[in-house]
Amino acid sequence: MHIAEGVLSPAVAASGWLASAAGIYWGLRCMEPEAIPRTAMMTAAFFTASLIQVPIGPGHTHLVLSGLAGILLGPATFPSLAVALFLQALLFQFGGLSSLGVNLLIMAVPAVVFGFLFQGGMRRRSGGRGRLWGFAFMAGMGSVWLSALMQAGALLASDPTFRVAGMTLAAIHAVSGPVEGLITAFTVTFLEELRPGLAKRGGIR
Amino acid sequence: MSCLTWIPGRSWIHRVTPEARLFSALVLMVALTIAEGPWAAMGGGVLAVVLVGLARLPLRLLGHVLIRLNLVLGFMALLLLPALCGSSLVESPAVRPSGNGFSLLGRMVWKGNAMVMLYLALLATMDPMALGLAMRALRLPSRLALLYLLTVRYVDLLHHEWERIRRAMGVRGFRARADRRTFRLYGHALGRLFLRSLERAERIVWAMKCRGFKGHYPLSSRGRWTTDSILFAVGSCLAAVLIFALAWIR
Amino acid sequence: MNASFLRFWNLSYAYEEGRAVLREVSGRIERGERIALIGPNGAGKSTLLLLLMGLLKSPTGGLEILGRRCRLEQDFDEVRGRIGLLFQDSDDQLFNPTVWDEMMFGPLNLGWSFSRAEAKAKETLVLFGIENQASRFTHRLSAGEKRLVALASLWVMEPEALLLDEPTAGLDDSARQRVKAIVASFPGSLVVASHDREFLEGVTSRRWNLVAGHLEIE
Ligand SMILES: Nc1ncnc2c1ncn2[C@@H]1O[C@H](COP(=O)(O)OP(=O)(O)OP(=O)(O)O)[C@@H](O)[C@H]1O
Ligand SMILES: [Mg+2]
Repeated sequence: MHIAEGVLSPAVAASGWLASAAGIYWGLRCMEPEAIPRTAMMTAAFFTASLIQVPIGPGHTHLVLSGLAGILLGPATFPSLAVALFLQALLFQFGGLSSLGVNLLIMAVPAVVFGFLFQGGMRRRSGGRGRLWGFAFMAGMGSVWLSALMQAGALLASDPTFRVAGMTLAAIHAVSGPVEGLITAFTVTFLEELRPGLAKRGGIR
Repeated sequence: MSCLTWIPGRSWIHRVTPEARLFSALVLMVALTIAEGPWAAMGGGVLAVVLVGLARLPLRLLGHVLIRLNLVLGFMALLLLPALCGSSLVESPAVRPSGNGFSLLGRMVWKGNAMVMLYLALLATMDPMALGLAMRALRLPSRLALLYLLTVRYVDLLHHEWERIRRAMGVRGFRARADRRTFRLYGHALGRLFLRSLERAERIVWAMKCRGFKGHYPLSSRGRWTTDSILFAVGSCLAAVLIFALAWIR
Repeated sequence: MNASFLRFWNLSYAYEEGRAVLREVSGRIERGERIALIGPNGAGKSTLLLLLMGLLKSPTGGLEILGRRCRLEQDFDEVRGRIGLLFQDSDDQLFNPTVWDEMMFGPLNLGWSFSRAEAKAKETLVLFGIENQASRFTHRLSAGEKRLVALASLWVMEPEALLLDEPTAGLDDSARQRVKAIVASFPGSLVVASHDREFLEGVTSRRWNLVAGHLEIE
């Protein structure tokens, strides 16, 4: 889900940075001072989780878990994923620094949107376990799919020549959507069982 | 094992203060990203090679990183193939490509490599923790710097937690397959990891409160600007200006 | 007025419902009193120390520090800076980037001037024999080094009481002797939870025995 260094056009990379800066600022403003350690530990956990390889079909995929981040972190997803992406670029050269802005938008915007949708769905009625599972699945899968679309959009905006490339990548990422959905759903139901209200309220607030 | 690796050394770059290096990396990154054209790209490439030389990066490691990067870029190039061959599949009158596929490919590979060499030389040559302190010294938003510092501080501990959880799963005869059961187990293991991380966070907040924390994080040290580091920062600004100037030559 | 430093009565705690760790324990700590808190693994020593600092809240009983009843978070906020709690896991306590930041965190939070905090931090580092570690990153320290830094980061705040949870865990012989001498010289009230008999005999004069959720005061 990372766009590598050098791929994006200057204008797209720069606007990505500007928009992400706004997102990060918003996320930081939404945080109580005491929520900073919580967000940091979650960030470390998400970073660890992104190193996990999950079997899918004949190959492996790395987990993104942006939907889960949106559910647990809310707006703080922006600064949190910014740190995680920065570390990935710095330590493993996944993604890159110039493309970090766009990569952050691609991951965090769907995460926050589906996080809010999830919390909205949970507020309306205190449905059972199935409802919780379903909404979490939707958040996990939906945010990855939306991310794939946004990635294709960013590539296209960079250069129309990327049309085939963008669509192929989107299709590849779309395959991991259901896996992300399943794992997100199982994680959320597990968390709700042990710490009722954690996911429904949005973990760190 | 730590996931926070960096490249220690005794080169001239290693002696420049972290603040100056972070500042230079940001300035040069902006210049490299925004400046367009073959000459600017050339200038950026030369600069990156010079910095890599000054930092005396181990060639093996540099090779590994660049090979991996170019494999990714190569995959993108493969997807560009239809465009490169001028296939009618992608040609439509509505969208006119900004240049031909080859110049796009050239820019991608050249800039990508230059950029990665740049931050390998400037940023990967310091402890990730020192980088966080440099963020503070450069007055990046203090909460963001704190978030970064705490994440770096605890990432290895959480990684260990994960290894432990994983081993516990392995002991019970768990084999990863692409089925529902596997995903449920992963979900539960991840849930456990997140609970651990929240418990840890709670205890950290306790420890903060026990030392008089009331919502404000004090700053206990300030950045150091030596003559060397000021020269270095000024030098990078000049280099950035040069790259922009090269972008004007068409 | 001659109130105890800390008095608590009928404190209970259960992490999971139906599995009480502490059952209605009561006790008092006088000024300058030095208490050894002993009990087998899992007896609830750490839990008791967390309750005394108001970090965990007991559903029953109460707590009085320096003659003041402490119920809410604000009540505790005012006294926490005057009592130093050493956590059992040093990693919980050492969240700052460097050893130096760790030393400055408490004093600056207490509102000391920068120069006063700096002077005290330097003095404490020398006392603990870790003055050459000041610029090191805390997460790269060894377990024993972490222990020393954690204790030093409390000492630097000049607390009136110390609650130490296994202060000697992971220390080598010379570090252990140094910590023993330092803790023995501490003038305030002291509670040490530890399995290190020799250390306890050297620095404490009374014993609290925690068994099966009850506190036996000798
Ligand atoms: N966060 C927690 N969640 C659930 N149970 C806990 C938690 N912390 C402690 N316990 C349980 O509470 C009991 C008392 O734990 P505590 O840490 O207070 O013991 P201790 O006397 O300090 O032991 P030790 O000598 O090993 O340090 C133990 O049975 C432990 O399993
Ligand atoms: Mg204990």
